[in-house]
Amino acid sequence: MNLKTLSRSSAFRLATALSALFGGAMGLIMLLVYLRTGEQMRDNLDVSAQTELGELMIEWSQGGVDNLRKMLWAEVAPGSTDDSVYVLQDPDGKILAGNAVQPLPAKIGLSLLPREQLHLDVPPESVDDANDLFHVAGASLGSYYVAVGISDSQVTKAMHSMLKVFATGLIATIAVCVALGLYLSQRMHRRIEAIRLALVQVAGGDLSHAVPGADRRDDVGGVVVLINQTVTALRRVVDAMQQLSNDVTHDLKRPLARLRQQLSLSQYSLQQGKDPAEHIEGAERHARSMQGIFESLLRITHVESGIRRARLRKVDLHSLLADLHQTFEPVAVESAHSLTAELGAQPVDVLGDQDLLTQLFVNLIENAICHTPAGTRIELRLAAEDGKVVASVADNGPGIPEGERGLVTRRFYRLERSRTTEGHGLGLSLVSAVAALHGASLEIGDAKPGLVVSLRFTRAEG
Amino acid sequence: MRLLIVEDDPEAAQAVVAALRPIGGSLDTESTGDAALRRALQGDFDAIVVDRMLPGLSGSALVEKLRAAGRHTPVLMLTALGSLDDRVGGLESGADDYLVKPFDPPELLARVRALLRRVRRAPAQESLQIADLRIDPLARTAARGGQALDLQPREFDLLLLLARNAGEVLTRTMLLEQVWGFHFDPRTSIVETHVSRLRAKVDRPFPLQLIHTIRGSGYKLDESEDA
Repeated sequence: MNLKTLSRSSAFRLATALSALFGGAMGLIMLLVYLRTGEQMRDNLDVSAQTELGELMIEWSQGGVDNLRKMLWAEVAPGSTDDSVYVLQDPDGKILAGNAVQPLPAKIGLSLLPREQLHLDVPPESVDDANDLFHVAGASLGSYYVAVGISDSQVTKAMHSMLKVFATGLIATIAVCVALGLYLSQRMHRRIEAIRLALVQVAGGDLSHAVPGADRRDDVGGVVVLINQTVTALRRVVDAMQQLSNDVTHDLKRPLARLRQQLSLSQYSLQQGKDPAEHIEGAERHARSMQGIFESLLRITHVESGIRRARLRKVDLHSLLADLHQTFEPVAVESAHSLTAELGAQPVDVLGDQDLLTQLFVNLIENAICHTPAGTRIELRLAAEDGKVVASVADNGPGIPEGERGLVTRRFYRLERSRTTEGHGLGLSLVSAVAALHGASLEIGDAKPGLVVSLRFTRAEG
Repeated sequence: MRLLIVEDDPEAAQAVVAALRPIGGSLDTESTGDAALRRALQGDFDAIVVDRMLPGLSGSALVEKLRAAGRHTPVLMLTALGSLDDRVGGLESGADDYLVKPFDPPELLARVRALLRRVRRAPAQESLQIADLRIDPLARTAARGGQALDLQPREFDLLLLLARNAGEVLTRTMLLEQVWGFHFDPRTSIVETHVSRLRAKVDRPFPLQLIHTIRGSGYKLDESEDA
């Protein structure tokens, strides 16, 4: 993953920003702790010096200068320490006790003195201590001056350690953040790269593969799911268009050829001085037939591809079917069929498109009327069973052979026995497309005897 | 009668003119939406037949502008686009009727005639009287010669529509649309069958035949025998 892609990776940018923020905050806190601790430690030195001074003053108050001298001599053997300074000096600056070789400026209270001004009897242990500051507490006892001083070398050392620890910690943290950021970016980049490549394919026209990454349950996974749904919908449209193109090419050529035939026959008739009316009528008939096929195909394609958006509203299947029963009953009678209805007595609502559902059932009823012999009984049925609604058109005619049941919804499919009769074979394709649009299941079955086509809908609430 | 035809395809324009000739009067044609709009606003046409797809100003835009200018000239929109969405869109732009190309000349003629009638239609609730046929639209009852007719709801709707357009032809397609709400072509002869049943109740028991079949066109209700 080179620097350019890295800089464009949103995950990396996020990780960097968070690291910087976190690092900054951490650094700030560390700085405050460092300063405060330093301050605190130095205050403690002041307190210690003062406490020790206080003790000395008590000694003096109990036994006078001599007592104090003896104590100091006992405590501070010459050369014993380079960290502290004790001094008892007289008004002339003569040192009576302590480890300073030269007198101190007689400051009362707290003061800070650099090492070089103190002139201890021993040199500092290490070179680092040369710049130490001594926290000195001084007091006057009568005409004498006594002072205790503690060097800050420990504090300095401690601060140094703290600084080292903090710096290491900060650097380590930032390093970890950067490493983690790189790692996460890498992973995210791989996911996004996979998605990107898949989408490049889709953009190039290959709609057959799903974009990977829908399995992860996070926001990116959610987007991938949506992308795949979009691609599926797109594929549906493309397939429908492809299918339409095929249908138009293959199945409209025949009537078109016949039409032309009739037209050339009428021309021939005219040449022969005969009346071309018959052939012109024939041409008109074929043209009309083609128009019908076009219309049906377009309708099916529109429904299948989703171009025709279903106007989903509450549709009362009971009143729709009852109405159709009334409409088609006389038609059935005229062709020596009977049409009955078993619809129950209640309204049954489904969410659907009134116009499309009407076409669907008209198709089924007309199929039954047109493709069964005289005397066949046709029945419209409507039943509701817990949340589902089943609407069916059944007849006791010849039915559809089991082997052909899966094929009848294909466009232009004509049953073997019906090949020579009228019709294009588009009726059940439309039924299937409309059913799919409504999310209803279509069942083509044996009415024992006969055919029953059922549609199972989900009942609409309220 | 002054009719305006707006169609950019010369062959189609010819077909429309030929189909509407029986109406008589003058038939003016325009081939662009802009020119047609100007003429429609200037002149006083009784009806306009406009193709939806036009170069420049489209048919639907033309109708919208016409309506926006306060002109209520009846408009029939012709188009090759036949989906329900297109039909709804066309009517929403202000057209009064919509016919899909290629059309049957008698169909176009019947529909334009229906448009021309619209201006002189009686209000919806009024009772209708044609010869001895009396129809009460509100009560949904019909009688001939005082004898009540026992009609199914759809049969009544059919009779009412024919009566409201008495003397004029209603095509099969128009009846399918207006009585049954079918915007598609059924395979079976619904209209014929129902007209036949209606005749059995309305005409057969009586000496005067009111419902006539006009070959190649449709049906009409007319008290004159030689309609």
